Amino acid sequence: MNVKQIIREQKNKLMWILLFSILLGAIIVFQAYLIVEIIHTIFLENQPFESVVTLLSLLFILLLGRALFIHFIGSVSLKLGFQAKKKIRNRLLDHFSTKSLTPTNEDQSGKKIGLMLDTVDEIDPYFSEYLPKVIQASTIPIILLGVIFYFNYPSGLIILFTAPFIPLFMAIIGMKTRDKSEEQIEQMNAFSAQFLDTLQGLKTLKLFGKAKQSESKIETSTLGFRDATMDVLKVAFASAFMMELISMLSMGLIALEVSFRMIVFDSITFHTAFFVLLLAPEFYVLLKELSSAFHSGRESLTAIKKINEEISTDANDVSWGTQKLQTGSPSSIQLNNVDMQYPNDGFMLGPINLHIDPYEKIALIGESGSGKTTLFHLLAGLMEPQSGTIYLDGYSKADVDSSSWFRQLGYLSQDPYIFAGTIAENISLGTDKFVSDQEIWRVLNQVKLDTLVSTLEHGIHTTIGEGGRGLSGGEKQRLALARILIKQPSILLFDEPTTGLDLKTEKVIQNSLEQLTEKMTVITIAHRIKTIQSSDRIWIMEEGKIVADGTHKELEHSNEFYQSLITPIRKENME
Amino acid sequence: MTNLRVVINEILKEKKDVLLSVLFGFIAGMAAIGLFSASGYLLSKAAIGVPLTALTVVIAIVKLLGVTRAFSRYGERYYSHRASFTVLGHIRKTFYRRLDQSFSTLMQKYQSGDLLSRMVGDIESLQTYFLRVLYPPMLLFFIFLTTIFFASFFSFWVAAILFIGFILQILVLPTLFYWWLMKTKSTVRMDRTTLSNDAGEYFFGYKELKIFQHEKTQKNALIKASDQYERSSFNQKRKERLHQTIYTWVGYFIIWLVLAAGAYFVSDGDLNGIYLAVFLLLSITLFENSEVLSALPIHLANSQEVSERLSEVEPTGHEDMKTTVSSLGSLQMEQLTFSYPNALSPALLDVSFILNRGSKTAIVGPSGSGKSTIIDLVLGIESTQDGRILWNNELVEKLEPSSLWKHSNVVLQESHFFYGTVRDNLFADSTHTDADMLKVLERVNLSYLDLDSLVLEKGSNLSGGEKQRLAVARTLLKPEAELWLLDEPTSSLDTKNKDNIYRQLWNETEDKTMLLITHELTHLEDMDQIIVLQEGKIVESGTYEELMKRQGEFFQMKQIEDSVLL
Repeated sequence: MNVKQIIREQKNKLMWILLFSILLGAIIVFQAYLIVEIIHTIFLENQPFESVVTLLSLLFILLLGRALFIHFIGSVSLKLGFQAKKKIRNRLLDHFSTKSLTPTNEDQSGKKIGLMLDTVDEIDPYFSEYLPKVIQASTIPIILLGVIFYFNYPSGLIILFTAPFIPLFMAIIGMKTRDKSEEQIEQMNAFSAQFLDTLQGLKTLKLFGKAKQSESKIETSTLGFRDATMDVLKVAFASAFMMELISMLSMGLIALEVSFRMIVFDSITFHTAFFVLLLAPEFYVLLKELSSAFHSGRESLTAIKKINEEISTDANDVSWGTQKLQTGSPSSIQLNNVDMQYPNDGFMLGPINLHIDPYEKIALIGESGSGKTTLFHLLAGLMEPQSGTIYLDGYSKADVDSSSWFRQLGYLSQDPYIFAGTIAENISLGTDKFVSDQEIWRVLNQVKLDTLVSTLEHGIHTTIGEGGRGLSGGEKQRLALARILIKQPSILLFDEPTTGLDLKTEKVIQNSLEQLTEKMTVITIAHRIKTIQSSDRIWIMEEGKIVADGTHKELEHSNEFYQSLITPIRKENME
Repeated sequence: MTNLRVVINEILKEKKDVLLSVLFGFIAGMAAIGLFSASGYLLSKAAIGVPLTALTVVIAIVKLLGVTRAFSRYGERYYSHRASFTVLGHIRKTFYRRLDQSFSTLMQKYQSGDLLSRMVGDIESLQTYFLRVLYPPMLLFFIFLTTIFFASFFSFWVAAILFIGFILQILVLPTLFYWWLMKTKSTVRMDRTTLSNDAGEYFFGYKELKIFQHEKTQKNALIKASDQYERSSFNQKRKERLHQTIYTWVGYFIIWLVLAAGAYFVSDGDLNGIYLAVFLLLSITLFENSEVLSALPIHLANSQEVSERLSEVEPTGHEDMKTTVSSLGSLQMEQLTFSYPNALSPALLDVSFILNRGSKTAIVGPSGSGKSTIIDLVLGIESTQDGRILWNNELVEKLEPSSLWKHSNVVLQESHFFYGTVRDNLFADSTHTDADMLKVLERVNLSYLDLDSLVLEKGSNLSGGEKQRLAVARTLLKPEAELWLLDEPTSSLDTKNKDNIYRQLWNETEDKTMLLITHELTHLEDMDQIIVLQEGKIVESGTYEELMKRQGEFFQMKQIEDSVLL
């Protein structure tokens, strides 16, 4: 995504701003002319009040027009920012939605939300302030300068000589500010980190009687933060000081110059002199406004850069086609030379070749970090392999209709996500069909949550929190299982819980799966010896590869890793 | 408004800086007005042809005023910002103290990220309260009054018009706009929260959404929320824009009135024509100064919202006189029932047991079964809801918590480590020598760590096992503690290290009271009692042998544990 592209799309608005700016410049010139004319008529020509009434009315209209044009420019600018932000945010969301899962994907959700909200908001000033100000600053001052030159070129020369000092000083000071403000950001981060660190460890600190010390640490770092901020501001104030000094002195200089030329050389009239004196401040005000808009514009550019970096990362969407899969029985799955590598991460998976027949029960074992979850994501079609092909029922996955695949699929992970909504909504997520209350109660009964839910005031219509807050691990697991029971998938990917589950959940999962699995293909990341022994086949994963594939009987005698895995347990059980 | 009282009080503490900034601001404002008035005077004088010498004084004044203006603006900015940021520092300290006083309830109600954003971002945004709400009207009040005072010497009517403008801009318009803002309460913040929540659901639940084919619907909802937020913040800004325009126009109108009235009185002969240009330039500069006030209502509304958010975090727990305990005897739990806010099921349900002095008790059960809550209740970090906890036959609420902590040694489930050295993180006090510290590190098999090694925030450069061992090392430095509360102290350790840690703990606690909380069923053979907790309830208790013989829940849990590989 390109700033230029957005600007091109918003060209109309920019043209309006340009047009209004030119008109505004003209109004400023005419307004000054009218004021001078009025004062001249009354003061020097000693005409009666009646002779300026027309001029005054005209001036009134012009002032009204000036306010209106400023309002138009402002409104169009706001609209510009509004449209740009809307576009960028939707573009970013499109990017995120097509980007397939990566290992860090799940931990980075916070970062993504920050990007979607804060960073996009930071873009606004570029469009709603900086661009319009650039247009204004490149039209109105030029109009003013031209008029001043036309009427009294020496004043024009003074402006021409002094004005460049403003951007020059801005540049010099701007360079200094960058280091300083980086330091300030560092201080700010240090302060935040310190505060967060203390906050999260407050309990530990209190229990060991160390809370007082950290209070004084917080105080020191907040003062450090203040001083760093003041350092940055001092530089900013110095730049404002220079601009103030230059513009004030130039205006004083112009006042002197015109009065000298009036008295000493008698070369210009009061009319011209006063006219120039009225226009000069308008010129400097615009330059000053531009420089402050420039500052916020630069911050926006950083935000745009951040978003571009994100968008330019590969978003390899999982490819699907239109071929519908049969619905009667589970599809067969085949992986041909599939491999996967994560960017910025040494991890490699594959090449993997495997075949899963309908109704097979497979146990996948391996140490943590051996790639079991990644393989699951590939099998589920949540991730696109780097190379190699996945065949479903003999069709290449790229030809298969995604919804006919996902309709078959169930995935029971160790930490299922529970959405903000009612219990019933969360369970009926499993299907697009209408689910009656009785059905919900039936599956709740199967997962042994019915007693608990019936004690709740709103029953199955009780709202459960974001991410399932307020539910214990076992309750979440059972709720996720209820979803599966409603969906009735024909292929189940099951990440078996390690420890820490309650007996009830343990039993519920075992019983439910025993009943279900006859009609399903089941692939389990297995941790229980019983699960492993009862499966048709066992895959052993090591460093991203399937190193062994066989039945319990076969592996028991041939595979060393498998032997080492099951022997100590055996021994203990025999004792 | 009452919430902003706190801020005002803090600002009043920085009187010197506030006064200096008003003083410099006043000089700067008056210098600009003086400069333009003098220029107008210079020009008008020049027009009627006075000798140059008579003008040199004015010329000098013009120059001087230009420089004065620039310098005093610098001073104004410097002092006003310094005052503002010092005040923010004070507020942060006060806020932190408040957190400190009521930390247990707070950590339950707020996530630390939320508190952080209040502490940093919210308080930072309060800077506008002084800089844009309190200070400008104060300053403009002086500038306007002085200018009007001087103008009144030359023309009563011009002074009167300026006064009307002053009232309009400083009082009427901001009040009206503020009233309008409050009446049409903006939904920006609400829409932003909706967007943020929807985004969270989408990203965190992405996998589920994909598999259950709800990804598209959720994405559309997200786009809708985003557009809604964009729309409402656009509307809000449009409101501000409109107010700004009206404000600017009122300024123009007053300038126009000054010119018209001036022209009328000059032609009437009531006013010297020289002052016509002076008054015009003066009023232009004056109303340029007051432009800052146009944003006042917005800033006021924001500051109010922020300070409300800050005062939401209120200290709980009133300070009663509490008894300090000098020794920890027996501990008695009587029918404890405890629920966390918005949890479906209670964490503890009718739990009763006794810890006799010098006894060893283990509470076992799955994670999330309410075990850790017991520690918080025992230490007075969490207040009991139903049931009682008695320390030496005294209610825990009556006891000073810090005196309980002093006599306890606690390993939390998630022990916290701070940015600093290993030495800092051992929490040693002055009585401990380096040798003592090295000794405990050795006992937990961490002798490869240097006392001066750096520990990063949250101990992120330590492995889970190292963190647990370091947490145990902390307790070993405090062997005199009478009560040892150990919450999953070895869950991330390998068998060898587990054995060692339990051996070390056993050695230290022979005659001490110990409560061990764990979901692993090893090293429990020597416990005096094992309490099995399921879904917040005690389902079984007894010694290891008794429970194994009974073949109940404990026995089954043990069997599952034995069958888990990897």
